[in-house]
Amino acid sequence: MENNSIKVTLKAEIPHRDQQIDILVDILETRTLPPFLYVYGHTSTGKSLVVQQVIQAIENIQYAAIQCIECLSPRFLYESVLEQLGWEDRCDSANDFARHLKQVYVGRPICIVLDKAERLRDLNDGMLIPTLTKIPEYTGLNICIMFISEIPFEKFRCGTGSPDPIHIFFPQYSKEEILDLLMKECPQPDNSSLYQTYLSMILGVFLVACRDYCELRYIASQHWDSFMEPINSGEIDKTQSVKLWRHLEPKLRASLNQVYVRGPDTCGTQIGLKMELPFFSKFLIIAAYLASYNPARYDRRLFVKAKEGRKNKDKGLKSLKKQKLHNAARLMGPKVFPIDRLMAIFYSIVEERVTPSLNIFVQISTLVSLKLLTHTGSAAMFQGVPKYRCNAGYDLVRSLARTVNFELGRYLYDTTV
Amino acid sequence: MTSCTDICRSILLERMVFNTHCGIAIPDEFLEHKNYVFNLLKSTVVNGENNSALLIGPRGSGKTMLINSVIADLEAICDVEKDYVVIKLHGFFQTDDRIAIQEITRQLFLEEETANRTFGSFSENLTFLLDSLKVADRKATKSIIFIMDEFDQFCQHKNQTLLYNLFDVCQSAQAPMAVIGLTCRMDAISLFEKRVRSRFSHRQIYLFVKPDFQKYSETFVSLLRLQPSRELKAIYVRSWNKSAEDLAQDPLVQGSLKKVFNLNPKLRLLQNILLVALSRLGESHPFLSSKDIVTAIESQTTDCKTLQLQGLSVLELQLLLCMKYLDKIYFGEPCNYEMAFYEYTKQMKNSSMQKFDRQIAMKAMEHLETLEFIRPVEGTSSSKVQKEFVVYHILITSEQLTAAIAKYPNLPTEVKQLADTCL
Repeated sequence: MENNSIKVTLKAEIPHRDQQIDILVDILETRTLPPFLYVYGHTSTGKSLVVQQVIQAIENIQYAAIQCIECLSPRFLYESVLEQLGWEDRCDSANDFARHLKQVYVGRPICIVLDKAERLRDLNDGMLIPTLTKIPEYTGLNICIMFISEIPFEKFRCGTGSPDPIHIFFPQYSKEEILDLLMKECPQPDNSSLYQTYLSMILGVFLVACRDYCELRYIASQHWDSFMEPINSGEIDKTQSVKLWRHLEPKLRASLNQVYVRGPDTCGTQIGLKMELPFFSKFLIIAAYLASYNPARYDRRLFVKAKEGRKNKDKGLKSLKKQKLHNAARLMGPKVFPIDRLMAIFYSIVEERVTPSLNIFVQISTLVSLKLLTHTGSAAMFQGVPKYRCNAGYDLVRSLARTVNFELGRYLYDTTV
Repeated sequence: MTSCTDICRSILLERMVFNTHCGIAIPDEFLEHKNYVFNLLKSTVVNGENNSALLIGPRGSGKTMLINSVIADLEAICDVEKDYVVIKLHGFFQTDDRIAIQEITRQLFLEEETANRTFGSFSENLTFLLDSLKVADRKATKSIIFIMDEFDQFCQHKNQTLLYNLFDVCQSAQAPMAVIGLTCRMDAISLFEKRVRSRFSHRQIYLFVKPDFQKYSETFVSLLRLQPSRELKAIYVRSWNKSAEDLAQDPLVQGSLKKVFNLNPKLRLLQNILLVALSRLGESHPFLSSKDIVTAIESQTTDCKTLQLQGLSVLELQLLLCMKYLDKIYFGEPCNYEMAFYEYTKQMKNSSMQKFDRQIAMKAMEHLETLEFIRPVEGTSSSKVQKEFVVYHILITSEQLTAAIAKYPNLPTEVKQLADTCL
């Protein structure tokens, strides 16, 4: 039977999606398509691929496949669907869309595939999705609206609701399935057992953080050379998998922090070291950080200078730290502070004497434009004291503090993290 | 030569897709309403009365079906060519009055007459259309029946011009006309503007289906029942019908059907389930088995979120657990990334598992956000707040998490223990 031959070829082409291919072929290989299908599952689990292949394999169907990211307004959607079905004209309302669909209908069922359908929710005041799902009923034609998405269907319910779809779920690949899929791209086909050992090393480390097949494929391709390096140079024999593991493991662990990010550490420590800021700007950031994360009432205890009777300071800080706060300040995010507090802290932490000059204030506004500080409060220029909030993270400020030999920990009220 | 199974499969699938089948008849409790609507329309067509009414009922309660059957009945006794026209409007498609009047013109086949005219106002346009239908004397005028689906949408139109004009014509008896609105909003009347409300007849017909399991399982059988025909051998039809009835008696199927019925007694869901089950029929598998029905029910009613949760990475699951824990101890206060990450590091302190950096955890959190398992509290996601401090609500229940964790393949025991303490 033709039905079965489609299944067999597709299953050979797309491994590990047997169940989904079965059900899609069964449902679509008929004279009458169901009005509304909802295909969902995580990213890179083969949703679009399977749907596309199945529809192409079934000759009977006219179809249009749309990426909803491209559709800024319903008009783009309507026009590109109609264009794929062979109608080229303006179409900017649902009414015209339904009318034109009737005109392009030639007796063969139409299937409209909408990839990333969650993007459509905001269009047309949320009315687009109910409208689309009503099209089969309204036109009375055999039209199948197929949504492909990665979020649960309940998120699509809006307004007075839409009909229930037939759900088709694409589960995430299991570890074995991912291993098998990755094995298909073995760079050295004659050495597949070695590649398998390599892949199981990779998966052992990375699978905890990431189950995305595409990302894992990228990672696998990235580390292959460094894995092969000792083998090629003859240092380690390829049968000594324990040695190979010891060689590779530190590299993998190091790059574990780059999953999804791809590339060097983009924020935090390194950027702080790279960023060339004026000397006082660095202190300004530190002061802003302290002002944002320390409660104002502890300023006196923290910043009173040694010669002014600081002997109780350390003790005081210790007793402070003992009090476990309900919610640590660091976790709640930066607080707003007025500029005079910033300046007070700034003068207290800068060792040398600085005269308050225009220079300092210009640096503050530079920091605002660098988005390291944000100006909050009223937009009016001369109304009240200007208020700021520190946007720099702990890692950045700590690395800045290191460059100017400032002991950040001593002045921080909350050192929980 | 197509086999009986194939024919049967395609007949039944067609039945599941289109609501064209005697099995999906109008329920008895609606017959009264149906007669009422029928008499309304009949008096419009025959006596030239003007009527308006509103059919209110939840989605899937059979409003459209009722009106379609009324119109079919009307066709049987009146002459469509001569006596009346039916104009069907749909609130989702005729999204403003301009489009609506174009659609009305189109359905009246008056496009050519209006092509070269310009109208000063909407009512002028409508009057022209109505006049065009008039023949010499008033008696011979065609009646117009307006069926307005998703009626509440028409109330959103600017000034409700269309509604005002229709009801005005209706009330002042300028032309014989009936306006039937279908809506699922109970408060549809209160959406009217004052001038529209005063012109409406205030006939409201409520359609509510009383859920009844007995009837539900009868529908189940009648949806599957075949009628003997030329293409199908009588013996096949008999054995098929027998198998369908046996299926409904099967305790396994009954149990699952009962569960579906308690969740969602809508016909659409039952049709979907049967469609999935029927699509598996083939030469090697000529009759439905109870297993088919049960797996179809399972595939259509399993919770999406639980399934999705099983596909998360361990790290993402851990973060979710931490957020759920924070949600519990702070009584539903939203929490931000820093709090969740701090909780995570606290729990990982004495653990032998791989610990992750802030960045990776941040990515995991972003992934959770795209999957809409967590949602930023309104107003906080603006560019003013660092992304670490955007506060989130968690949209997963602890039951969903427990169910997902129970099924998660090769979950480290530590995470399981964490789940036990967190949930």
